[in-house]
Formats: sequence, C-alpha cells, structure tokens
Amino acid sequence: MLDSFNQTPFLHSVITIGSFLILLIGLVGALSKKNLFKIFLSLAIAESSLFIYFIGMHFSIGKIAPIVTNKVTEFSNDMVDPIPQAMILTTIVIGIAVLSLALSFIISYYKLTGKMRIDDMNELGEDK
Amino acid sequence: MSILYFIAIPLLASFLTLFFKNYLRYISVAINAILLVLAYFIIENLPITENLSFDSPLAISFVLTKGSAFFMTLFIGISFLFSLYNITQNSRRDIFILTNMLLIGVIGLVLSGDIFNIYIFFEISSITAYILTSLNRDAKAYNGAIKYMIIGSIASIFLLIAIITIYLNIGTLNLITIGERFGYMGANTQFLVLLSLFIGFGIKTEIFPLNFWAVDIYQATSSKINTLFSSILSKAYIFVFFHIAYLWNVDSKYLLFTAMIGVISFGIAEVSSLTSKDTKRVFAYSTLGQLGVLFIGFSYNNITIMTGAIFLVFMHSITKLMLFLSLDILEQRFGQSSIEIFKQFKSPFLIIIFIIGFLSLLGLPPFGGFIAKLTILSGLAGVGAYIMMGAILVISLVEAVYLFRLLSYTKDTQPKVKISIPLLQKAILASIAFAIIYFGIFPNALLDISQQVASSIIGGVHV
Repeated sequence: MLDSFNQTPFLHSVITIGSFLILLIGLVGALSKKNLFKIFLSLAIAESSLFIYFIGMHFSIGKIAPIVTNKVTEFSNDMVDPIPQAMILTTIVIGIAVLSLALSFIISYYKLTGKMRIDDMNELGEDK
Repeated sequence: MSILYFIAIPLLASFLTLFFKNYLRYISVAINAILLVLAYFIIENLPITENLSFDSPLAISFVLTKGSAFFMTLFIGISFLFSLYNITQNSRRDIFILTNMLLIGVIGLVLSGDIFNIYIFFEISSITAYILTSLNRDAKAYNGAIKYMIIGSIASIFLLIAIITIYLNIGTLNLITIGERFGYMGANTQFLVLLSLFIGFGIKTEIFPLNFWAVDIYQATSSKINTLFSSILSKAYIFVFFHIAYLWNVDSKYLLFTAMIGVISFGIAEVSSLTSKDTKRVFAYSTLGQLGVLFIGFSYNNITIMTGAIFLVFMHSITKLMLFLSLDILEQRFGQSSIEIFKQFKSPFLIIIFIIGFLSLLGLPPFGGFIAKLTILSGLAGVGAYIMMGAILVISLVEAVYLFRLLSYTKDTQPKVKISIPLLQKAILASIAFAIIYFGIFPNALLDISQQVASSIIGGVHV
C-alpha cells in the first residue's frame, strides 16, 4: 500500500494541494495581518508556494537532476526539465532582494515615526 | 549593431557612475544622448530579432519592432529631458543612477520576446520605482514606498502564476511560440492565465479597480519623480500588456472587458479628482484618467483607434513631463504641494505652460491632445461604439471642470510670490510646449509614425 505513495501522480497531487494551501495562507495573511513585517512575510510565503509548485510539477519519480557529472556525461531524457529550476533560482534571488528592501524601508519608517502597523500609516491622504 | 546595447550601455553607466561622483549628472545626460543617437540609426533596419545562446524557442530573445522601437525612443527621449532638467539643480546624485536603472527596466520590458525576461525586467523596473518613491527619506516617502512594495509584490506573484501556468501547459516561454499554441490550452486555463496577467499588469498600469494605491504613491514622492512614473513606467506596462494580448490572439471578449475597465477607470478617476486638495493628487488622477483612455484605445482591434492611442501615448507623456516638472518648480519654491500654491505664485511663463498642458490634456484644438482624442473618437464612430464615444466626451467635461478650477486659482488676489526659473529649465519646458502646439497643427508626420506603430502592434511581431 505504501508503494502508491511513491508514484508520480500521487506526488503531483500532494504538491498541487499543498502549494495551493500555502498560497492561500500567504495571500490571506497579507490581506488580514496588520503588522508590516508579517505582511511581507506572508507575501514571501505566497511566493514560495509557487516555487514548490513549479519545481514539484516538473519532477517525476526516477528522474535525475540536470547536472553533468563524472557518471552522467550528457543531457538526456532521464533528467528533469532544467528550465524551471533556472527560472526559480532567478526568482528566489529577486524575492530576497525585494524582501530585504522592504525590511529596510520598514526599519527606516519605524525610526522616523515609531509606527509598525499598517492601519496607523496616515501620512498620506486627501487632507494631509 | 546589436539591440542589446540599449540595455547594456545604461546598465554599465549606472555602475560606472559610482566612480565619477562629481561628473555623474553629465555622464547621465551624455549616456541618454548617445542612446538617442543609437536609436535614430537603428530605426532604419527594423525589425530585428536577436537570440542569445540557442535557437529560437529555447533562447532568450529580444525583438525590436516598429512598436517597441517607438516606445523605446520615447522613453529615452523623456529620460534625456528629465536628466537635462536635473543637471542645473543640486539634485541628489542617486536620482541619476536610478533614472538609468529605470531606463534599463522599461527598455528591457518593451524589447523582451520572452515572458520570463519580461518578469525579470518587470521586477527591475519595480524595484527601481520603490527606491525612487522613498527618495525623499521622510515618513511620507517611506509610507508610500511600503504601500507600493506590498501591492507590487502581489502584482509579481500573479504575473508568476501566469508564467508558471503557461509553461506547465504549453512548455515554452517564447512569446511567439506561446501565441501559436495558446489555443491548445483549455478555456479555463486560458481564463486563469489572462486573469492573472490582468491582475499583474493591471496593478502596474494603474487601472481601476487595482489603482487605489496609485494616488498615494504620487503624493508620497516629489513631483519630479512622478514624471518618471506617469510618462515612462505606466506606458511601458501598457505596451507590454497589449502587445502580449495581440500576439496571443486572445478572445475578443477579453479585449471588450479591458475596454470597459478603461472607461470605468477614466470616469472614476476624473470624478474623484473633483474633491482633491493636493496638486500632485489632482495630476495623479488626471494620469489615471488618461491611462483609462489608453486602455480603451488599445482594446479595439482597429487601426484608426490604435493610431489615436499611440498618438495619445506620445502627447500624454510629454504633456505630463512638462506639467510635473513645472509643478516641481512650484513645489521646491513653496515646500508643499497643496492646491493653495496655485493662488500664490506669480509667473506668466508658468501660467502659459499650465494652460497649454491643461488644454492639451482636455483635447482642445490646436493642441496635440486634440488630434489624439479626435482620432480615437472617429475610430470609435467607425466601429459603431457610440456609447463609448459618449462616455469619453461626458467624462472629458468633468476633467475640464477641475483643470479650469486650478487655472482660476491663479487669478486669486492673494499676495503673490515671484518665481524665477533658470534658463535651461525654461528652455526645456518651452520646447515641450512648442512640440505640443506643433504636433497639434501639423500632426501628419507623427500620425504616419503612429499608424505604422499601431499596425505593428496589431499585426504581430515581425511587422
């Protein structure tokens, strides 16, 4: 019975359901949390669900990593598709850059105003 | 000559300028001038497709068509005028680096022939825009930047969803190959992709109902930076959004939907601006309204309407450049941007500039905006979209109300403050005003170019 866990379709459905749940957690967190740190953390969680989904859906049982080594000397059909992995690596780097920029903004904003919650941010608006 | 120079030169420049701190402004202007000259020479041999490392479906490709060449040249030109305007002032140095970075982002956006590259340049331009928003380093600026980052991160998540769905279903990232296989996807998948694209790009093109944040961002930064947002950034996103839609031959219902969204956006923006008490917010609402008109213009698969829309892109970009730079002069003098400053300044030159800009925005003859709106309206009449025509005309009246209200403030009898403007800035503003009048009286050359650009966007990549 445990064998069926080790099949590609089962793996893919687990990844689909799981990453969709993580995406929901992230988006709901971003919309409902008031603390600025938590909002950006939620957005990072939502983004990471896409990474898991994309990499996971291109993996199937029995395939190997698309890296040429001493034993594996040429690219073949046994390898998983390398394009998603290259894409996701790039996206992770961009995500970290955006997150760190956001944190630096939050820290500067906190130093200036002492505020940390999004519903306290009232510098902008019609009567300001 | 390779079209990659248009990305590589400003990229190199923005890193190298760190070592030439005192000459930063001159280098920045020189780089923009060089790019303008290069653009002039490359336009003769269009279209150009360039692939890096592999052959077409696998490679990273950059495509220069008449459409992308027009937008690229427009962005470089505006960036050139912007840097030139900043050269005399004691502007912060990082503004020049960031302008160059923004230029890389938008040029990359319009040149990319590959949806993942579009994502990369989308992020480059967004990150630059976040930093530009926070440039004033006060509570307002950080407030705006944080809001911008939250909404921008949501936009990039949805764009990523669209890209992932496309790659999982049709196994390619190249825009043309996606266009060939787009029909193979199921109706629900197509809907998911188009919806995610609409949310991703809709946030960035500041279209209703995704633009509630945009006015705050315009208020948070200085008027100078708003020039870049209004004239360059939103135009680049609009081009990419509709370029993709036409390349993929999306369903005509989708385009009808974007046209509806455009007219709603136009209406809501103009009505909201009536109660606004901050000049930057007024101009921001005006930008949102004009972006709505552009959405209408781009949504009809019709050469006349599209020609008008391209003409409007050009006119609106240079008009908003002129208006925001004039507002920047006032903002620096008074240290605030409330609507009261219109009652207090004394400068016949600036008043003339504002009158020309407002009348062109409204679409009155003999200014360039008139030709743009006339072409769009006559095209709409040609396809029988009379309700849309009526809506645009009625909403333009609302626009007239608040722009004339601003002008009437200059007649106020309060004690006035005399504004002195440096010669170079005067020359820049005057030359833009001259261009607005010139293209209003002799529009044929620009209309001809707009028509070629329009047929390139409607017809696909290699036209």
